[in-house]
Amino acid sequence: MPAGLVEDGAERQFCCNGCRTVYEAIHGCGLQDYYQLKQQLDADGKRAATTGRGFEEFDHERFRELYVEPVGEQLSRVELYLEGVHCAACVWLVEKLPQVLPGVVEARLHLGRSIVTVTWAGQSQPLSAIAQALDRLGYPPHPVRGGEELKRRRAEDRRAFTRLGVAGALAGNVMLMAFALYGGWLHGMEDQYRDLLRWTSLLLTMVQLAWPGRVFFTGAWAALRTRTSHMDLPIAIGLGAGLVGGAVNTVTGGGEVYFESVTVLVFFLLVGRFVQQRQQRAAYDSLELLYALTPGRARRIREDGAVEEVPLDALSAGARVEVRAGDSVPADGRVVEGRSLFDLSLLSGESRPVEVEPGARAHAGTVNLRARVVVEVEATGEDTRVGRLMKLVERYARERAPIVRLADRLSGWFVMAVLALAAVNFLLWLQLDPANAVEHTIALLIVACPCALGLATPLAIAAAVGRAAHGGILVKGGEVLERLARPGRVLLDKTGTLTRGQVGVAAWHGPDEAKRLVLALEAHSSHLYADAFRAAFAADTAGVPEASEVEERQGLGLRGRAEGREVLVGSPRLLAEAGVELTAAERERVERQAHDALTPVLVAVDGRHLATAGLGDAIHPGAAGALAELRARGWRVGILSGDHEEVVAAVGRQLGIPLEHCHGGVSPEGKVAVVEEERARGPVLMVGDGVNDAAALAAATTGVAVHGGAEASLAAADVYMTEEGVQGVVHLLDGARRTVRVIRRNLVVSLAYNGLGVALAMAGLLNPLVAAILMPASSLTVISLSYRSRTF
Amino acid sequence: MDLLYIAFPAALLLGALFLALFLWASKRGQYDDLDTPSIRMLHDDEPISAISGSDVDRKERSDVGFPAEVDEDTDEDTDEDGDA
Repeated sequence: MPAGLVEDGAERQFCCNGCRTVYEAIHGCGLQDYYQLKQQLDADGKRAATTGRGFEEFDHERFRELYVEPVGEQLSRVELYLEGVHCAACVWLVEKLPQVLPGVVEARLHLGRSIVTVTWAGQSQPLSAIAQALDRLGYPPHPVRGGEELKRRRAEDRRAFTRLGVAGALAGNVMLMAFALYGGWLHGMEDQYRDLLRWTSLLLTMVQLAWPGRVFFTGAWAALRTRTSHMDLPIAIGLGAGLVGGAVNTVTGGGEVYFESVTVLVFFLLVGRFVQQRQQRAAYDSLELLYALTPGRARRIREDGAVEEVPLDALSAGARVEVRAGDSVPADGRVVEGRSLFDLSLLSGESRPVEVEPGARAHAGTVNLRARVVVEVEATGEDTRVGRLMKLVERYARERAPIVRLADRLSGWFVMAVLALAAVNFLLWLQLDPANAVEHTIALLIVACPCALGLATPLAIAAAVGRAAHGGILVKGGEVLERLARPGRVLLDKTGTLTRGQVGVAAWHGPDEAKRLVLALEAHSSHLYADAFRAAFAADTAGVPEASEVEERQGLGLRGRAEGREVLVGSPRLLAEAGVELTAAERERVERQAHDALTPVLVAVDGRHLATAGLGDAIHPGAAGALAELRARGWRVGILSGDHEEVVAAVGRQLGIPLEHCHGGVSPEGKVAVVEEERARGPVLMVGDGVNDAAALAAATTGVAVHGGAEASLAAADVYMTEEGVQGVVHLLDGARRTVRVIRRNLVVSLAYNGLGVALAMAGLLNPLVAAILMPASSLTVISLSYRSRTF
Repeated sequence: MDLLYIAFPAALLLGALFLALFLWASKRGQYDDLDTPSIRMLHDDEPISAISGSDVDRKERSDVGFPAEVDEDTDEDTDEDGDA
């Protein structure tokens, strides 16, 4: 509970009356068990917990320059990402910040994006105090990176929303006047009033097309200039025909006007695009939150030996930074103090940790696993190895050829068909009724305007992207789903995708009693394998006996006594030296494990072999099944990893992947080369999580970053999956296939409506009222089809 | 019926006024967040004096838009009503 909200003397503390009421209601109904259940659920670690950090780097000068914005004379404003924001109560709690902390004037939380905007009297409180207060409330804050890009996107959102509002207002007004005109059409109306209504409608329609509707004309013009087909082209033709035809009839006082159809069309199409954009933004926002969670600070050692936390941007070459166990290295440099194990898997894909000692190179993005080391910084930011890889990512992302969307491809044919039909229609009516030939042709052009066709893709994609995000699949762009519809080669990064990316107990053959003995001895060891055993047998830790006389032999294993018995845990050599005999079957098992790139660890008790464990990077339990499903869907599977070749080959063998498609020991640049080679043959889906995959992700037809990915791979990928392993890829492909099917169905339905309208126009049966009914009817069908269909 | 010639422009003007208000609000970023305001209205308002400890006077509060501005959800209907 935040200090400001604690009620003295009360047995239980509540953040608000709502929670108190709910608590009392739950107790009143005798449902107290809910709280126990909830505690169990929370134990999963899903909830962001208070970190208790000091947030000193928030007060650094550089941090201020980057993120804090002055407001007026005394006030400052900062935007911070908050971890763990999920519901309305969070909004309430966070916005109570002014009560908890003097000096804070306002805190506004944007629930959808988890961003809080804090305005405070800059002098009265350091920013770190605010950060600590938010942290104490249970929402650890992070700076919002992204600066210019974020501002640009926000301005774009505002413009889109303004367009939508203006289009809605104008469409509504024109529609009201159309009602009056229909009334006059049915019951008679004096010409002067009809002309008044028509002129006003014309005026508003002109505003509609010149302001919110301009996007369609600029889009159509761009398509014409680049000689590509785009959905905007047929739309612009329809809108243009409607305006010109209506204007002529208004001036001459004859014929029909279709202003309400034209203005409503603009509004509907903008709604479709807005909805799609909003869903897309939601996916982007979730990704941004993930970026924000990657640490942006370093622990710099000052001249006097004291350690201070500074933002990454404040680091420069020559500085000494402290890297504690569990932290990632903030910059490239050299280890000057301490020994430890570094996990390079994100940078190079290597699954086995590497030992470092003074003099060893340390790269940004690697993780220190074991003990504190001091690193002297040599390069920061863009000059680091990660920074150079990011450059590569940007280049491939720029060079990637955009795909021609289904709807756009269709629109080229559509324009030709409509123009041909209009010409036929004109010639036909020239024979039958020359006076009305132009009139009927304009009616045809208007009713052929693809309103539903324009909505077909955005709505289907918006619905799919929204649902996918719900299931933990964040899709960055709608065209990604269309790209995934055609099967090709799927390249999987081994570490973190097929395997867990950390050393674990991958195989165990032996009785449970041996597990307790292993734990007893390993309790005295700090070796990496000891951690693996502890993690794997955590459920059996109850009743672990105390071991004595434990002796660790470097590179061989442990020897000691537990429960009065002589226990050996270690390599086959350790057992052989102690004179323990292995049966032929056991020897074969040990050899097989070595073949599968696992390190055998044997257990012997009182001179007899008891159990065999295989330690290594364990394959995900669901991986084999998921690969089978991928193959069933027509995808050819390959591995592309930076890990040692023999490890990759072993994993490929276990999963039934042909050796020629298991690429091991590949550098980031090499990965790109493999991806490009495959692309020459068809679509490539690259799945990876590390910095070393980032460039390959960007170079592939579609890049998918998986759970726990590095910042660089998040930036490069088209899709991010919170789910671990390959199973998510199967979900993604299925969802994409279904989405494309929905898009196709939408296109067919809207084309049918257009066909009906054109037929009516050619028969001369079309009037503004029929057009005004046909248009929304087709749009409604498409909307309900999009949201009713199961995609993800 | 000649009244229409006055009523019509007047109604349009009213509509334009609402449109201008919408543009003003949109430009000031009041529609940037379309999710939270619907939740925020559920929270009880508290009198300003209850917020303790702030050494910023009331005038500055209103400068930064403190007691919550009307963040109503977007609704174009208001514009149409102007003409009806």
